Amino acid sequence: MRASPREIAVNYTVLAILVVIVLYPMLGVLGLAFQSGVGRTGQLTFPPELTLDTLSRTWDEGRFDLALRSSAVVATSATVVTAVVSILAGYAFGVMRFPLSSALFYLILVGMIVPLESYVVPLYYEMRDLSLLDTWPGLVLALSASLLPFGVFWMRAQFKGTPKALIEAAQIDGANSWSVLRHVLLPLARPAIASLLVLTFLWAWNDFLLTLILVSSNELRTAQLQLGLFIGVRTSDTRALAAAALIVSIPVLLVYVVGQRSLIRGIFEGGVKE
Amino acid sequence: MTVSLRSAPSRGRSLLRGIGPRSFAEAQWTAYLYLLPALLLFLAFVIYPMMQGAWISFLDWNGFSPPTWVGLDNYVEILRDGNLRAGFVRSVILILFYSLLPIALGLLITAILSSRPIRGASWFRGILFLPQVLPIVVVGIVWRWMYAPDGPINAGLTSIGLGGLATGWLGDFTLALPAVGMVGTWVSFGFVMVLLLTGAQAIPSDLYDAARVDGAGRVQEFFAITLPGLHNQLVVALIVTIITALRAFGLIYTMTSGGPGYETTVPAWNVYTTTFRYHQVGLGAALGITLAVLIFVIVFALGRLVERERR
Repeated sequence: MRASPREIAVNYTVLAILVVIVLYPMLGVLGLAFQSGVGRTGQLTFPPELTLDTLSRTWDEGRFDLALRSSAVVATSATVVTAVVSILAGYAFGVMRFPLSSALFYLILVGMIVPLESYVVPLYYEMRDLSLLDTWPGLVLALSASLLPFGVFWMRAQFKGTPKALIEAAQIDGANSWSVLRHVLLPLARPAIASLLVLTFLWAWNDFLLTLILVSSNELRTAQLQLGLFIGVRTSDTRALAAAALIVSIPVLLVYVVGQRSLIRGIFEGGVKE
Repeated sequence: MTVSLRSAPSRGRSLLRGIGPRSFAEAQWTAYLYLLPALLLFLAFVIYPMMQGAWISFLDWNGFSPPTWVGLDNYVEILRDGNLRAGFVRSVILILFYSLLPIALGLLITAILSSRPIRGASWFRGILFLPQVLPIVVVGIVWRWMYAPDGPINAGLTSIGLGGLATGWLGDFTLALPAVGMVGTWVSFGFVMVLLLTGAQAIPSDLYDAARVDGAGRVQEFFAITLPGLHNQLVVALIVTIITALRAFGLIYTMTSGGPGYETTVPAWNVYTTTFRYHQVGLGAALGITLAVLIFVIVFALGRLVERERR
């Protein structure tokens, strides 16, 4: 049966309305970022003003060069750490048999629902005692620990789905556990790993609460933290806030455009299939 | 975050799997080497601080001087303190906006859109999903502008002759919380809708054909086929969005700072301020643990729901 023209018209009208609701606020802020002038009012003009004054002023005043550098270092490191430990643990859980495997797996699954708020306070004092407070390594370790439950869960599902025969064939050829992972499982897991990298990077880049609590020095602040604090400093400078929001969003949007397919696949398969 | 649907009842038996004598002999001990890095990180920076949090929640501690043991006093305080208790009520209100409203809208739209493939579906999906990837602080800035007294929402109301409704949304004692909630709807909605639409497209189309042969209308079709077919997606949507609502912090931090008055102080915000502003570390920890227990109970209950359906 084919859809009637009326059905098609209704479909696209509904979708168009949704697209406007999603895009209007974002495009509005985008427009403001390209306007000049200081002040509370944020009126969009037509035709839109296109100046880089506010962007460059905000970039300097907010030290977003430092902030973006921090975020790049922290998010990339956390992504790499999370991916590596998740792949190793997912391999053990997905393919090997060992005592307490289910109990340990469920323990890690708890990490997928436990809210950061329930342990962030003691984490602060723990980091202080380890001299990791207000350092990049401290933040990276904390972020990776909070993100790895999803990674382990995701990689386990991937490795579990790999045909047993492939692994057994390699073992008969004398491959040890490391070369099974390296030469049999990893090449097949590339799409799954891509999803994991995109998701982890976005979550790490967008983290606000952990950074707010664990980091304080100017040079170490990530983009989210800097932006959060910038709101307090420039409360009534609507255009500067818009410009700052744009600066901090650009990397996320780039990763999203490039990795959209992997990302959406990761979120929906991860949630529904297992 | 995504959440596992494999849940409770099968857990009891499978927990013991791998402990029997036979598997012990053929156990691959190298597995522990592969597990070690993840397990160490997880135990050191999630489980250990969580245990500590449970311990600290029984203490009266300002973070510096020696703590005193106060038993359940902090939990009693949460029940007694009007504002802390109200924080949890506000969370329930946020759940309406973050979870139930997007799901209701998502279902409505899934029902309206005919199940035929939509041209440009991946473009729509990509756009509707955008609010979900935007950093929460950026979302806060975007909506501060939307809600500003001279912002687009008030301008829109005025232009359609409803200028009387225009107000300073985030400064209004009754409207601030729903206003923040609507931003939650804006963020959750795309995620929920893409989830439901993807699920709806996986429902075999011969089910619909059969229903039409039986003379079912669109409405009957929706309740007889679409809704049951989306069971798993609905549970995932509920779990993810409810957790997001209970953990709302970034939007509060960027849009209202808990105000006006205490009207938007939610539990996650209270954990932060109680600990780091008022230095009542024990009380802050107790709030965090209460929030965690609440989330566990909800996820467990929803997990049971899935299991019942499968039987």
